[in-house]
Amino acid sequence: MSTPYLPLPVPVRRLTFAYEGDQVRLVSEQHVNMILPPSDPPELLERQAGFRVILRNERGELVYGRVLSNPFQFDREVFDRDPEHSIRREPNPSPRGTFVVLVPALDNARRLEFFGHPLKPKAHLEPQRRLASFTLQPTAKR
Amino acid sequence: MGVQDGNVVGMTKIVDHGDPSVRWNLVILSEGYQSSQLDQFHNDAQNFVTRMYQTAPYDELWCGINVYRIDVSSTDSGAADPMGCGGTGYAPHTYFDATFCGDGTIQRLLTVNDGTVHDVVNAQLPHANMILVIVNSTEYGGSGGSVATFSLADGADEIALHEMGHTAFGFADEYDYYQGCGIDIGHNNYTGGEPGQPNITTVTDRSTIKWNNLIAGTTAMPTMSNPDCTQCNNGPNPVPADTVGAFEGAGYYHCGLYRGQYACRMRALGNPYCGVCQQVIRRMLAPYMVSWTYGTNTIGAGQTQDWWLWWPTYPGFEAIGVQVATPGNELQTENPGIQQNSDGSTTYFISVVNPGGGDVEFHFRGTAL
Repeated sequence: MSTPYLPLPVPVRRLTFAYEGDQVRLVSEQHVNMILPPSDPPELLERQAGFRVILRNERGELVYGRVLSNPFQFDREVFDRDPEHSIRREPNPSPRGTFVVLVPALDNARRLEFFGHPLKPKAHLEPQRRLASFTLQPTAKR
Repeated sequence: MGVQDGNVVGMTKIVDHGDPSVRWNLVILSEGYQSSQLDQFHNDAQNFVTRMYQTAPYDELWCGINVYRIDVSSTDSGAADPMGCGGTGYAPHTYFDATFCGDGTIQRLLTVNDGTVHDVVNAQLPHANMILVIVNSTEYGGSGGSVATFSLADGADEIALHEMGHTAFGFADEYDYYQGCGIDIGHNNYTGGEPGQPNITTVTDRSTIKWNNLIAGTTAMPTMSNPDCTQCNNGPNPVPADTVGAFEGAGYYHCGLYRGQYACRMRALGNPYCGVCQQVIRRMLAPYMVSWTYGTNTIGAGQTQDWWLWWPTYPGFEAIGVQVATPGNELQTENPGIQQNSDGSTTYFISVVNPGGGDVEFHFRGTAL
């Protein structure tokens, strides 16, 4: 049985980001009510490898975070009909794109951070670090 | 080029299981369809919906899923096919600028302008959880990322199902090479930390591996090792096909990373999702399933209440838990338990804890399988 969690729809920030190379910017923010998965456990967010989205309060404490598939496409997945080699990766010479992140619109969330391996090709064995950070406006004042 | 080359005609809910705020919402958009071809897109979108419905575990989770179709017309039909990749040089005017050879070198890499796609979806359905674009071409191709793209060629819908695994459920790739077996340099032994993704691991201890509840006591751990870490682990499966264990070779590495099953859609197209991935999908979609209230009560500050629920079959629920009746209050749950009874029924247990400073009313609920 899964961890008991039966949420009601909550206010959610739908954040759209655009990136080119290692530069990323917040393009738009929408507010919508919907169900979100619970935060991943802090020990997983702090210790394990991979791309994470983290919300912090004004004291820098983690208030929500999730491990996500890395949206920065420094390589691309290529598909083939050959059943023995139906998928492979190829470096992307000009990484750019747009992606959406859904996070709860928590009153105490002040910063959104992307955390993971450096934004460059084949960086998955390099030390992880904060990749980008964005100030969030308090939801109560919007 | 781009949005001047067509129109957003409108959105239609083609699988309706309720309000989008309480369901998992898939959006399918058309690309490279002229206005006169949108009826064909309707059929193509429905074909994918049928394919998805026939794919475990989406079949059993269907009541938690909505599907929306967004009709976008283009001036021209199809997708660009640059000669630089050996294509025909066809350069149609389409709304999302679909093109094969999306990186300038690989013909089958079929990409779209994902910024334009997100603009359309944000405007039409900000509740969207997953976005697919069907490109009106019978040439094989597709791509992943925040928007998954696939063509009408036979088998290309597998690309969409694989990419949903990444984008919607956070799965890692389970293949044990990067560009190809015998081609890669530096992909012999993984030396990094435990991956955060739910379907690959460095752990082979049956008690601490992420998917330990799926591993039979008789299954060897690791279940399959790679005898030569300079090569991909292409040996035959040593156990029955549905066995969950720890199979070495995953996450682009020949050794040091393990996957849960010998074959999986995240390892090679054309396979089902493995048992590990199916379990993750079930858990992630459980909150979107229809749930019922079995009791309502009030709990005082600092109190703990123990609740149980009997069900005549095993198992009966994907999840049990509490919903706070008044927004702004918080409760915790502890010690969840499940007991399979000798008569084939199930008893579920859970403790509800109120750590706050006042009385909180809550509903005790179960989400059906």
